[in-house]
Amino acid sequence: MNLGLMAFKLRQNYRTALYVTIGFLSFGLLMVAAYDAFDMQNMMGQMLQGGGEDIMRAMLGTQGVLMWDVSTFLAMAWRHPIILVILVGWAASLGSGYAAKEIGEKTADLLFARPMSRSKLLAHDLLVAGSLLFINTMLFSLSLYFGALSFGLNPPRLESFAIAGLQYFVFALAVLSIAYLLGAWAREGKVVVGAMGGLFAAMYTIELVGGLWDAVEPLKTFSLFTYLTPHAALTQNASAWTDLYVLLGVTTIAMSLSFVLMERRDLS
Amino acid sequence: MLAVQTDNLTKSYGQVKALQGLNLRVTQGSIFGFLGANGAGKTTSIRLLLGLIKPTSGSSRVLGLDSEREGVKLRSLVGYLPGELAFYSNVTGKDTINMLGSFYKSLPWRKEACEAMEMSESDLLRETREYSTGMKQKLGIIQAVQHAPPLLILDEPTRGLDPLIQRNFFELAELISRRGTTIFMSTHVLTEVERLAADVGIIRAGKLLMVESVTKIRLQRFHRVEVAFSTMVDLPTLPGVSISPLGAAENSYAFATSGDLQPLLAYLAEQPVDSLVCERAKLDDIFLHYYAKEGAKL
Repeated sequence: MNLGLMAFKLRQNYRTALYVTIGFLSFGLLMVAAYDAFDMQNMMGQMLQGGGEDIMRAMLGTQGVLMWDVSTFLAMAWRHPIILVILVGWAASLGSGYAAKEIGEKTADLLFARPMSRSKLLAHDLLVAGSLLFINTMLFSLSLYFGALSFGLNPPRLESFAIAGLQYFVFALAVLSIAYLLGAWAREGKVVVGAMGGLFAAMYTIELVGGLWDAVEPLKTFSLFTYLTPHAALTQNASAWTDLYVLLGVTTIAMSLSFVLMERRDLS
Repeated sequence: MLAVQTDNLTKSYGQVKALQGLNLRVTQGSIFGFLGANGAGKTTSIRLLLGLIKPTSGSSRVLGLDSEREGVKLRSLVGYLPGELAFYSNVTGKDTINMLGSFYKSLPWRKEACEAMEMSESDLLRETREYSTGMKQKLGIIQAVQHAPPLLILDEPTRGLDPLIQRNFFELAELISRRGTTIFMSTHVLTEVERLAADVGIIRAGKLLMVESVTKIRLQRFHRVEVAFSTMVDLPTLPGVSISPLGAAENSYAFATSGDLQPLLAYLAEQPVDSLVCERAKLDDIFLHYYAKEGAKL
Protein backbone atom coordinates (compact mmCIF):
# COMPACT_ATOMS: atom_id res chain seq x y z
CA MET A 1 0.00 0.00 0.00
CA ASN A 2 1.30 3.46 -0.92
CA LEU A 3 0.45 5.77 1.99
CA GLY A 4 1.93 8.77 0.17
CA LEU A 5 -0.55 8.34 -2.66
CA MET A 6 -3.46 7.91 -0.27
CA ALA A 7 -2.49 10.98 1.76
CA PHE A 8 -2.28 12.95 -1.51
CA LYS A 9 -5.73 11.83 -2.62
CA LEU A 10 -7.16 12.66 0.81
CA ARG A 11 -5.60 16.12 0.59
CA GLN A 12 -7.17 16.59 -2.84
CA ASN A 13 -10.65 15.64 -1.68
CA TYR A 14 -10.98 16.56 1.98
CA ARG A 15 -12.39 20.06 1.43
CA THR A 16 -15.36 18.87 -0.62
CA ALA A 17 -15.87 15.96 1.78
CA LEU A 18 -15.89 18.36 4.72
CA TYR A 19 -18.41 20.74 3.12
CA VAL A 20 -20.73 17.91 2.06
CA THR A 21 -20.59 16.33 5.51
CA ILE A 22 -21.26 19.62 7.31
CA GLY A 23 -24.20 20.17 4.95
CA PHE A 24 -25.58 16.70 5.61
CA LEU A 25 -25.23 17.04 9.38
CA SER A 26 -26.92 20.44 9.37
CA PHE A 27 -29.71 19.12 7.18
CA GLY A 28 -30.27 16.11 9.47
CA LEU A 29 -30.37 18.20 12.60
CA LEU A 30 -32.70 20.74 10.97
CA MET A 31 -35.06 17.94 9.94
CA VAL A 32 -35.18 16.62 13.49
CA ALA A 33 -35.61 20.10 14.93
CA ALA A 34 -38.43 20.84 12.47
CA TYR A 35 -40.20 17.61 13.45
CA ASP A 36 -40.05 18.69 17.08
CA ALA A 37 -40.88 22.36 16.57
CA PHE A 38 -43.74 22.22 14.07
CA ASP A 39 -45.68 19.20 15.32
CA MET A 40 -44.85 17.40 12.10
CA GLN A 41 -46.36 14.14 13.25
CA ASN A 42 -49.83 15.67 13.41
CA MET A 43 -49.35 17.73 10.27
CA MET A 44 -48.15 14.83 8.13
CA GLY A 45 -50.78 12.52 9.61
CA GLN A 46 -53.40 14.88 8.22
CA MET A 47 -51.66 14.85 4.86
CA LEU A 48 -51.73 11.06 4.74
CA GLN A 49 -55.42 11.01 5.58
CA GLY A 50 -56.03 13.56 2.83
CA GLY A 51 -54.82 11.11 0.14
CA GLY A 52 -51.09 11.87 0.12
CA GLU A 53 -50.08 8.35 1.10
CA ASP A 54 -49.21 7.18 -2.41
CA ILE A 55 -46.83 10.03 -3.12
CA MET A 56 -45.27 9.64 0.33
CA ARG A 57 -44.78 5.92 -0.25
CA ALA A 58 -43.26 6.58 -3.67
CA MET A 59 -40.84 9.13 -2.22
CA LEU A 60 -39.86 6.81 0.60
CA GLY A 61 -39.56 3.81 -1.71
CA THR A 62 -41.62 1.68 0.63
CA GLN A 63 -44.68 -0.53 0.29
CA GLY A 64 -47.66 -1.40 2.44
CA VAL A 65 -49.43 0.68 5.04
CA LEU A 66 -47.53 3.79 6.00
CA MET A 67 -47.47 4.71 9.68
CA TRP A 68 -46.72 8.34 10.19
CA ASP A 69 -44.22 8.20 13.00
CA VAL A 70 -40.68 9.36 13.62
CA SER A 71 -39.16 6.43 11.62
CA THR A 72 -41.09 7.44 8.52
CA PHE A 73 -40.11 11.06 8.98
CA LEU A 74 -36.43 10.25 9.48
CA ALA A 75 -36.44 7.96 6.44
CA MET A 76 -37.46 11.09 4.51
CA ALA A 77 -34.12 12.65 5.43
CA TRP A 78 -32.16 9.89 3.64
CA ARG A 79 -34.45 9.93 0.63
CA HIS A 80 -34.80 13.70 0.38
CA PRO A 81 -34.12 14.77 -3.26
CA ILE A 82 -31.61 17.44 -2.23
CA ILE A 83 -29.57 14.99 -0.20
CA LEU A 84 -29.74 12.39 -2.98
CA VAL A 85 -28.62 14.88 -5.64
CA ILE A 86 -25.66 15.95 -3.50
CA LEU A 87 -24.66 12.39 -2.64
CA VAL A 88 -24.91 11.12 -6.22
CA GLY A 89 -23.11 14.20 -7.58
CA TRP A 90 -20.30 13.91 -5.05
CA ALA A 91 -19.82 10.14 -5.52
CA ALA A 92 -19.91 10.60 -9.32
CA SER A 93 -17.33 13.35 -9.08
CA LEU A 94 -15.06 11.18 -6.92
CA GLY A 95 -15.42 8.29 -9.37
CA SER A 96 -14.75 10.45 -12.41
CA GLY A 97 -11.42 11.53 -10.90
CA TYR A 98 -9.59 8.27 -11.41
CA ALA A 99 -9.15 7.91 -15.15
CA ALA A 100 -11.40 10.22 -17.17
CA LYS A 101 -10.51 13.35 -15.22
CA GLU A 102 -6.82 12.40 -15.19
CA ILE A 103 -6.89 12.05 -18.98
CA GLY A 104 -9.03 15.16 -19.53
CA GLU A 105 -6.80 17.31 -17.33
CA LYS A 106 -3.62 15.74 -18.74
CA THR A 107 -2.31 14.41 -15.41
CA ALA A 108 -2.70 10.78 -16.55
CA ASP A 109 0.79 10.68 -18.08
CA LEU A 110 2.28 11.61 -14.70
CA LEU A 111 0.30 9.19 -12.54
CA PHE A 112 0.16 6.17 -14.82
CA ALA A 113 3.88 6.37 -15.60
CA ARG A 114 4.52 5.32 -11.96
CA PRO A 115 5.57 1.77 -11.14
CA MET A 116 2.17 0.59 -10.02
CA SER A 117 -0.46 -1.36 -11.96
CA ARG A 118 -3.67 0.43 -12.91
CA SER A 119 -5.67 -1.98 -10.76
CA LYS A 120 -3.65 -1.06 -7.69
CA LEU A 121 -3.95 2.63 -8.47
CA LEU A 122 -7.71 2.16 -8.79
CA ALA A 123 -7.78 0.22 -5.51
CA HIS A 124 -6.02 3.13 -3.75
CA ASP A 125 -8.51 5.55 -5.22
CA LEU A 126 -11.40 3.33 -4.14
CA LEU A 127 -10.04 3.06 -0.62
CA VAL A 128 -9.81 6.83 -0.20
CA ALA A 129 -13.13 7.64 -1.87
CA GLY A 130 -14.83 4.77 -0.02
CA SER A 131 -13.49 5.99 3.33
CA LEU A 132 -14.75 9.52 2.72
CA LEU A 133 -18.19 8.23 1.69
CA PHE A 134 -18.29 5.88 4.70
CA ILE A 135 -17.47 8.66 7.16
CA ASN A 136 -20.06 10.94 5.57
CA THR A 137 -22.92 8.45 5.41
CA MET A 138 -22.31 7.07 8.90
CA LEU A 139 -22.03 10.54 10.45
CA PHE A 140 -25.28 11.46 8.74
CA SER A 141 -27.00 8.42 10.26
CA LEU A 142 -25.57 9.10 13.69
CA SER A 143 -26.57 12.75 13.54
CA LEU A 144 -30.16 11.73 12.81
CA TYR A 145 -30.15 9.23 15.68
CA PHE A 146 -28.57 11.46 18.28
CA GLY A 147 -30.57 14.46 17.04
CA ALA A 148 -33.83 12.56 17.49
CA LEU A 149 -32.63 11.29 20.85
CA SER A 150 -31.72 14.75 22.11
CA PHE A 151 -35.13 16.13 21.07
CA GLY A 152 -36.83 13.26 22.93
CA LEU A 153 -38.45 11.87 19.76
CA ASN A 154 -38.03 8.25 20.83
CA PRO A 155 -36.16 7.03 17.71
CA PRO A 156 -35.68 3.33 16.82
CA ARG A 157 -32.61 1.52 18.17
CA LEU A 158 -29.10 2.61 17.13
CA GLU A 159 -28.56 -0.66 15.20
CA SER A 160 -31.40 0.28 12.86
CA PHE A 161 -29.66 3.58 12.12
CA ALA A 162 -26.40 1.70 11.58
CA ILE A 163 -28.09 -0.57 9.02
CA ALA A 164 -29.71 2.43 7.30
CA GLY A 165 -26.32 4.17 7.27
CA LEU A 166 -24.60 1.07 5.91
CA GLN A 167 -27.21 0.80 3.16
CA TYR A 168 -26.68 4.47 2.33
CA PHE A 169 -22.93 3.90 2.19
CA VAL A 170 -23.26 0.90 -0.15
CA PHE A 171 -25.65 2.92 -2.33
CA ALA A 172 -22.96 5.64 -2.54
CA LEU A 173 -20.36 2.94 -3.34
CA ALA A 174 -22.59 1.68 -6.16
CA VAL A 175 -22.75 5.21 -7.57
CA LEU A 176 -18.96 5.52 -7.20
CA SER A 177 -18.29 2.21 -8.95
CA ILE A 178 -20.60 3.07 -11.87
CA ALA A 179 -18.72 6.38 -12.16
CA TYR A 180 -15.43 4.41 -12.22
CA LEU A 181 -16.85 2.22 -14.95
CA LEU A 182 -17.84 5.21 -17.08
CA GLY A 183 -14.53 6.86 -16.21
CA ALA A 184 -12.64 3.82 -17.48
CA TRP A 185 -14.21 4.45 -20.86
CA ALA A 186 -14.59 8.26 -21.08
CA ARG A 187 -11.90 10.83 -21.78
CA GLU A 188 -13.12 13.66 -19.55
CA GLY A 189 -14.35 13.86 -15.98
CA LYS A 190 -17.20 16.23 -16.79
CA VAL A 191 -18.54 13.75 -19.35
CA VAL A 192 -18.72 11.12 -16.59
CA VAL A 193 -20.45 13.48 -14.15
CA GLY A 194 -22.90 14.55 -16.87
CA ALA A 195 -23.68 10.96 -17.86
CA MET A 196 -24.12 9.98 -14.22
CA GLY A 197 -26.48 12.91 -13.70
CA GLY A 198 -28.61 11.77 -16.64
CA LEU A 199 -28.54 8.12 -15.60
CA PHE A 200 -29.54 8.75 -12.00
CA ALA A 201 -32.18 11.34 -12.93
CA ALA A 202 -33.74 8.65 -15.13
CA MET A 203 -33.50 6.09 -12.31
CA TYR A 204 -35.12 8.49 -9.84
CA THR A 205 -37.92 9.26 -12.27
CA ILE A 206 -38.58 5.53 -12.77
CA GLU A 207 -38.55 5.02 -9.00
CA LEU A 208 -40.99 7.85 -8.34
CA VAL A 209 -43.34 7.25 -11.27
CA GLY A 210 -43.15 3.47 -10.76
CA GLY A 211 -44.36 3.98 -7.19
CA LEU A 212 -47.46 5.77 -8.45
CA TRP A 213 -48.22 4.11 -11.78
CA ASP A 214 -48.51 0.34 -12.07
CA ALA A 215 -47.49 0.29 -15.77
CA VAL A 216 -44.01 1.60 -14.90
CA GLU A 217 -43.68 -0.37 -11.67
CA PRO A 218 -41.75 -3.36 -13.22
CA LEU A 219 -39.03 -0.97 -14.41
CA LYS A 220 -38.22 -0.10 -10.80
CA THR A 221 -36.00 -3.20 -10.72
CA PHE A 222 -33.49 -1.24 -12.84
CA SER A 223 -33.41 1.76 -10.55
CA LEU A 224 -30.80 1.78 -7.79
CA PHE A 225 -33.09 3.99 -5.71
CA THR A 226 -35.44 1.02 -5.35
CA TYR A 227 -32.81 -0.62 -3.15
CA LEU A 228 -32.25 2.42 -0.98
CA THR A 229 -34.77 1.66 1.74
CA PRO A 230 -33.90 3.42 5.01
CA HIS A 231 -37.53 3.09 6.06
CA ALA A 232 -37.21 -0.70 5.95
CA ALA A 233 -34.02 -0.46 8.00
CA LEU A 234 -35.59 1.76 10.65
CA THR A 235 -38.68 -0.44 10.92
CA GLN A 236 -36.42 -3.52 11.15
CA ASN A 237 -37.79 -5.08 7.99
CA ALA A 238 -35.59 -7.92 6.66
CA SER A 239 -35.88 -6.51 3.13
CA ALA A 240 -33.37 -3.83 4.16
CA TRP A 241 -30.65 -6.49 4.11
CA THR A 242 -31.79 -7.90 0.77
CA ASP A 243 -31.65 -4.41 -0.72
CA LEU A 244 -28.19 -3.90 0.74
CA TYR A 245 -26.97 -7.12 -0.91
CA VAL A 246 -28.38 -6.02 -4.27
CA LEU A 247 -26.49 -2.72 -3.98
CA LEU A 248 -23.37 -4.63 -3.00
CA GLY A 249 -23.78 -6.88 -6.05
CA VAL A 250 -24.09 -3.88 -8.38
CA THR A 251 -20.99 -2.37 -6.77
CA THR A 252 -18.99 -5.59 -7.21
CA ILE A 253 -19.97 -6.02 -10.86
CA ALA A 254 -19.30 -2.38 -11.76
CA MET A 255 -15.96 -2.37 -9.93
CA SER A 256 -14.84 -5.64 -11.56
CA LEU A 257 -15.69 -4.28 -15.00
CA SER A 258 -13.85 -1.05 -14.17
CA PHE A 259 -10.70 -3.00 -13.26
CA VAL A 260 -10.85 -4.99 -16.51
CA LEU A 261 -11.55 -1.93 -18.68
CA MET A 262 -8.82 0.11 -17.02
CA GLU A 263 -6.20 -2.56 -17.63
CA ARG A 264 -7.12 -2.68 -21.31
CA ARG A 265 -7.56 0.93 -22.24
CA ASP A 266 -5.04 3.21 -23.90
CA LEU A 267 -4.14 6.14 -21.71
CA SER A 268 -3.94 8.93 -24.26
CA MET B 1 22.99 -3.52 -23.37
CA LEU B 2 20.28 -1.52 -25.07
CA ALA B 3 18.27 0.98 -23.07
CA VAL B 4 15.56 1.19 -25.71
CA GLN B 5 14.77 -1.31 -28.44
CA THR B 6 11.72 -1.27 -30.69
CA ASP B 7 10.87 -3.78 -33.41
CA ASN B 8 8.38 -2.76 -36.08
CA LEU B 9 6.48 -0.82 -33.47
CA THR B 10 3.20 0.36 -34.98
CA LYS B 11 0.26 2.24 -33.54
CA SER B 12 -2.92 3.10 -35.40
CA TYR B 13 -6.00 4.96 -34.26
CA GLY B 14 -8.63 3.77 -36.71
CA GLN B 15 -7.44 4.90 -40.15
CA VAL B 16 -4.77 7.18 -38.70
CA LYS B 17 -1.33 5.62 -38.47
CA ALA B 18 0.38 7.43 -35.62
CA LEU B 19 3.50 5.26 -35.78
CA GLN B 20 4.62 2.95 -38.58
CA GLY B 21 7.14 0.18 -38.05
CA LEU B 22 9.50 2.00 -35.71
CA ASN B 23 12.84 0.22 -35.37
CA LEU B 24 14.99 2.00 -32.85
CA ARG B 25 18.07 1.10 -30.79
CA VAL B 26 19.38 3.33 -28.04
CA THR B 27 22.48 2.18 -26.21
CA GLN B 28 22.66 2.40 -22.45
CA GLY B 29 24.40 5.46 -21.04
CA SER B 30 23.94 7.56 -24.18
CA ILE B 31 21.94 10.73 -24.80
CA PHE B 32 19.56 10.20 -27.68
CA GLY B 33 17.72 13.04 -29.40
CA PHE B 34 14.39 12.11 -30.93
CA LEU B 35 13.57 14.83 -33.41
CA GLY B 36 10.35 15.52 -35.17
CA ALA B 37 7.77 18.18 -35.85
CA ASN B 38 4.62 18.36 -33.75
CA GLY B 39 2.41 15.36 -34.48
CA ALA B 40 5.27 13.34 -35.97
CA GLY B 41 4.79 10.46 -33.51
CA LYS B 42 7.29 11.28 -30.76
CA THR B 43 4.84 11.25 -27.85
CA THR B 44 3.09 8.15 -29.18
CA SER B 45 6.46 6.38 -29.30
CA ILE B 46 7.20 7.37 -25.70
CA ARG B 47 3.78 6.25 -24.46
CA LEU B 48 4.31 2.91 -26.17
CA LEU B 49 7.75 2.55 -24.56
CA LEU B 50 6.25 3.18 -21.11
CA GLY B 51 3.35 0.79 -21.70
CA LEU B 52 0.75 3.56 -21.34
CA ILE B 53 -0.75 2.57 -24.67
CA LYS B 54 -0.75 -0.76 -26.45
CA PRO B 55 0.85 -1.22 -29.88
CA THR B 56 -1.22 -2.25 -32.88
CA SER B 57 1.71 -4.47 -33.84
CA GLY B 58 5.39 -4.85 -33.06
CA SER B 59 7.08 -4.71 -29.68
CA SER B 60 9.36 -2.61 -27.55
CA ARG B 61 11.79 -3.26 -24.73
CA VAL B 62 13.12 -0.75 -22.26
CA LEU B 63 16.22 -1.71 -20.23
CA GLY B 64 15.56 -5.29 -21.31
CA LEU B 65 11.95 -5.30 -20.11
CA ASP B 66 8.92 -5.76 -22.34
CA SER B 67 6.84 -2.57 -22.37
CA GLU B 68 3.52 -4.38 -22.54
CA ARG B 69 4.05 -7.24 -20.11
CA GLU B 70 6.58 -5.82 -17.65
CA GLY B 71 5.34 -2.24 -17.54
CA VAL B 72 5.30 -1.88 -13.75
CA LYS B 73 8.90 -3.07 -13.29
CA LEU B 74 10.03 -1.06 -16.29
CA ARG B 75 8.48 2.15 -14.98
CA SER B 76 10.36 1.78 -11.69
CA LEU B 77 13.55 2.30 -13.70
CA VAL B 78 12.37 5.28 -15.71
CA GLY B 79 11.99 8.98 -14.99
CA TYR B 80 9.48 10.58 -17.33
CA LEU B 81 8.72 14.17 -18.17
CA PRO B 82 5.51 14.29 -20.23
CA GLY B 83 5.26 16.72 -23.13
CA GLU B 84 1.79 17.91 -22.20
CA LEU B 85 2.62 18.61 -18.59
CA ALA B 86 -0.19 19.32 -16.13
CA PHE B 87 -0.41 19.05 -12.37
CA TYR B 88 -3.17 18.58 -9.84
CA SER B 89 -4.40 22.08 -9.12
CA ASN B 90 -5.43 22.17 -5.46
CA VAL B 91 -2.22 20.85 -3.92
CA THR B 92 1.27 22.28 -3.47
CA GLY B 93 4.33 21.55 -5.58
CA LYS B 94 5.88 19.73 -2.63
CA ASP B 95 2.77 17.54 -2.18
CA THR B 96 2.97 16.71 -5.88
CA ILE B 97 6.63 15.65 -5.98
CA ASN B 98 6.20 13.82 -2.65
CA MET B 99 3.30 11.82 -4.06
CA LEU B 100 5.05 11.14 -7.37
CA GLY B 101 8.21 10.18 -5.49
CA SER B 102 6.36 7.92 -3.04
CA PHE B 103 6.50 5.08 -5.57
CA TYR B 104 10.28 4.78 -5.30
CA LYS B 105 12.60 3.58 -2.53
CA SER B 106 14.60 6.80 -2.26
CA LEU B 107 14.90 10.22 -3.86
CA PRO B 108 18.67 10.83 -3.92
CA TRP B 109 18.70 13.45 -6.66
CA ARG B 110 15.84 15.65 -5.49
CA LYS B 111 17.92 18.26 -3.70
CA GLU B 112 20.32 18.54 -6.62
CA ALA B 113 17.47 18.83 -9.12
CA CYS B 114 15.71 21.49 -7.03
CA GLU B 115 18.92 23.51 -6.85
CA ALA B 116 19.57 23.20 -10.59
CA MET B 117 16.00 24.23 -11.37
CA GLU B 118 16.18 27.02 -8.77
CA MET B 119 13.06 25.83 -6.99
CA SER B 120 13.19 27.02 -3.40
CA GLU B 121 11.26 25.53 -0.48
CA SER B 122 8.86 28.48 -0.59
CA ASP B 123 8.24 27.86 -4.30
CA LEU B 124 7.46 24.22 -3.55
CA LEU B 125 5.02 25.19 -0.79
CA ARG B 126 2.85 27.16 -3.24
CA GLU B 127 -0.15 25.52 -4.87
CA THR B 128 0.64 24.38 -8.41
CA ARG B 129 -2.29 26.34 -9.86
CA GLU B 130 -0.29 29.48 -9.04
CA TYR B 131 2.71 28.22 -11.02
CA SER B 132 3.77 29.77 -14.32
CA THR B 133 4.44 27.49 -17.31
CA GLY B 134 8.17 27.65 -16.58
CA MET B 135 7.71 26.68 -12.92
CA LYS B 136 5.52 23.74 -13.91
CA GLN B 137 8.23 22.60 -16.30
CA LYS B 138 10.85 22.88 -13.55
CA LEU B 139 8.66 20.82 -11.22
CA GLY B 140 8.20 18.30 -14.03
CA ILE B 141 11.96 17.94 -14.44
CA ILE B 142 12.44 17.52 -10.67
CA GLN B 143 9.82 14.77 -10.43
CA ALA B 144 11.40 12.95 -13.39
CA VAL B 145 14.93 13.10 -12.01
CA GLN B 146 14.48 12.87 -8.22
CA HIS B 147 14.60 9.06 -7.89
CA ALA B 148 17.86 8.67 -9.85
CA PRO B 149 16.38 6.60 -12.70
CA PRO B 150 18.67 4.56 -15.00
CA LEU B 151 16.65 5.90 -17.96
CA LEU B 152 15.28 9.40 -18.30
CA ILE B 153 12.62 10.04 -20.93
CA LEU B 154 12.09 13.74 -21.52
CA ASP B 155 9.40 15.00 -23.86
CA GLU B 156 10.16 18.60 -24.84
CA PRO B 157 12.23 19.28 -21.70
CA THR B 158 13.05 22.97 -22.22
CA ARG B 159 9.53 24.10 -23.09
CA GLY B 160 8.77 27.28 -21.12
CA LEU B 161 12.16 27.48 -19.42
CA ASP B 162 14.03 30.79 -19.47
CA PRO B 163 17.57 30.76 -20.98
CA LEU B 164 19.27 30.68 -17.56
CA ILE B 165 17.30 27.67 -16.36
CA GLN B 166 17.76 26.04 -19.77
CA ARG B 167 21.51 26.29 -19.24
CA ASN B 168 21.10 24.79 -15.77
CA PHE B 169 19.02 22.00 -17.26
CA PHE B 170 21.73 21.19 -19.81
CA GLU B 171 24.32 21.05 -17.05
CA LEU B 172 22.08 18.81 -14.94
CA ALA B 173 21.47 16.51 -17.91
CA GLU B 174 25.19 16.28 -18.63
CA LEU B 175 25.89 15.48 -14.97
CA ILE B 176 23.20 12.80 -14.88
CA SER B 177 24.52 11.32 -18.10
CA ARG B 178 28.03 11.14 -16.67
CA ARG B 179 26.58 9.09 -13.81
CA GLY B 180 25.42 6.50 -16.32
CA THR B 181 21.77 7.44 -16.84
CA THR B 182 20.52 7.07 -20.40
CA ILE B 183 18.64 10.13 -21.61
CA PHE B 184 16.01 9.79 -24.32
CA MET B 185 14.99 13.28 -25.28
CA SER B 186 12.16 14.05 -27.64
CA THR B 187 12.08 17.55 -29.03
CA HIS B 188 11.63 19.80 -32.00
CA VAL B 189 14.06 22.34 -30.56
CA LEU B 190 17.17 21.27 -32.37
CA THR B 191 19.74 23.31 -30.52
CA GLU B 192 19.17 21.33 -27.32
CA VAL B 193 19.84 18.07 -29.15
CA GLU B 194 22.92 19.58 -30.75
CA ARG B 195 24.11 20.65 -27.32
CA LEU B 196 23.45 17.35 -25.53
CA ALA B 197 22.86 14.34 -27.73
CA ALA B 198 25.38 11.92 -29.16
CA ASP B 199 22.85 10.26 -31.47
CA VAL B 200 19.82 11.60 -33.26
CA GLY B 201 16.72 9.99 -34.74
CA ILE B 202 14.43 11.95 -37.01
CA ILE B 203 10.79 10.97 -37.24
CA ARG B 204 8.14 12.28 -39.60
CA ALA B 205 4.50 11.25 -40.02
CA GLY B 206 5.06 8.22 -37.80
CA LYS B 207 8.06 6.97 -39.79
CA LEU B 208 11.66 7.00 -38.64
CA LEU B 209 13.63 8.78 -41.37
CA MET B 210 17.12 8.24 -40.04
CA VAL B 211 19.24 7.51 -36.98
CA GLU B 212 22.74 8.89 -36.95
CA SER B 213 25.37 10.23 -34.59
CA VAL B 214 25.57 14.01 -34.42
CA THR B 215 29.28 13.80 -35.30
CA LYS B 216 28.58 11.74 -38.42
CA ILE B 217 25.84 14.10 -39.54
CA ARG B 218 28.27 16.96 -39.31
CA LEU B 219 30.80 15.00 -41.35
CA GLN B 220 28.34 14.54 -44.19
CA ARG B 221 29.29 18.00 -45.42
CA PHE B 222 26.01 19.71 -44.87
CA HIS B 223 26.16 23.40 -45.72
CA ARG B 224 23.77 26.24 -45.47
CA VAL B 225 23.99 28.53 -48.50
CA GLU B 226 22.42 31.94 -48.97
CA VAL B 227 22.88 33.45 -52.40
CA ALA B 228 21.51 36.63 -53.99
CA PHE B 229 21.63 37.29 -57.74
CA SER B 230 21.45 40.62 -59.53
CA THR B 231 18.92 39.14 -61.98
CA MET B 232 16.40 36.33 -61.79
CA VAL B 233 18.09 32.91 -61.88
CA ASP B 234 16.55 29.44 -61.64
CA LEU B 235 18.63 26.98 -59.66
CA PRO B 236 19.33 23.93 -61.82
CA THR B 237 19.78 20.34 -60.66
CA LEU B 238 23.48 19.80 -60.11
CA PRO B 239 25.19 16.42 -60.14
CA GLY B 240 26.29 15.24 -56.68
CA VAL B 241 24.58 18.11 -54.88
CA SER B 242 21.39 17.63 -52.92
CA ILE B 243 19.58 20.92 -52.44
CA SER B 244 16.75 21.48 -49.98
CA PRO B 245 15.16 24.92 -50.08
CA LEU B 246 14.98 26.71 -46.74
CA GLY B 247 13.52 29.95 -48.04
CA ALA B 248 13.43 32.24 -51.06
CA ALA B 249 13.01 35.95 -51.70
CA GLU B 250 13.30 38.09 -54.85
CA ASN B 251 16.38 36.90 -56.81
CA SER B 252 17.77 35.13 -53.73
CA TYR B 253 17.72 31.68 -52.23
CA ALA B 254 18.54 29.99 -48.94
CA PHE B 255 19.09 26.26 -49.03
CA ALA B 256 20.86 23.37 -47.37
CA THR B 257 23.21 21.20 -49.38
CA SER B 258 24.82 17.88 -48.74
CA GLY B 259 27.70 16.35 -50.63
CA ASP B 260 30.40 17.98 -52.72
CA LEU B 261 30.17 21.77 -52.97
CA GLN B 262 32.38 21.98 -56.06
CA PRO B 263 29.63 21.69 -58.76
CA LEU B 264 27.56 24.34 -57.00
CA LEU B 265 30.46 26.75 -56.69
CA ALA B 266 31.39 26.18 -60.34
CA TYR B 267 27.83 26.95 -61.39
CA LEU B 268 27.61 30.05 -59.20
CA ALA B 269 30.89 31.35 -60.60
CA GLU B 270 29.18 31.77 -63.98
CA GLN B 271 26.12 33.52 -62.55
CA PRO B 272 25.52 37.20 -61.65
CA VAL B 273 25.99 36.64 -57.92
CA ASP B 274 25.53 39.72 -55.73
CA SER B 275 26.30 38.06 -52.43
CA LEU B 276 27.07 34.57 -51.19
CA VAL B 277 27.13 33.14 -47.69
CA CYS B 278 28.18 29.52 -47.27
CA GLU B 279 28.57 28.06 -43.82
CA ARG B 280 28.52 24.68 -42.11
CA ALA B 281 24.89 23.82 -41.53
CA LYS B 282 23.44 23.68 -38.06
CA LEU B 283 21.28 20.79 -37.00
CA ASP B 284 18.17 22.89 -37.67
CA ASP B 285 19.06 23.08 -41.35
CA ILE B 286 19.92 19.39 -41.51
CA PHE B 287 16.60 18.52 -39.91
CA LEU B 288 14.77 20.65 -42.45
CA HIS B 289 16.87 19.08 -45.20
CA TYR B 290 15.65 15.59 -44.18
CA TYR B 291 12.08 16.75 -43.89
CA ALA B 292 12.22 18.40 -47.31
CA LYS B 293 13.81 15.34 -48.86
CA GLU B 294 10.85 13.26 -47.64
CA GLY B 295 8.44 15.66 -49.30
CA ALA B 296 7.08 17.38 -46.21
CA LYS B 297 5.78 20.88 -46.41
CA LEU B 298 8.11 23.21 -44.57
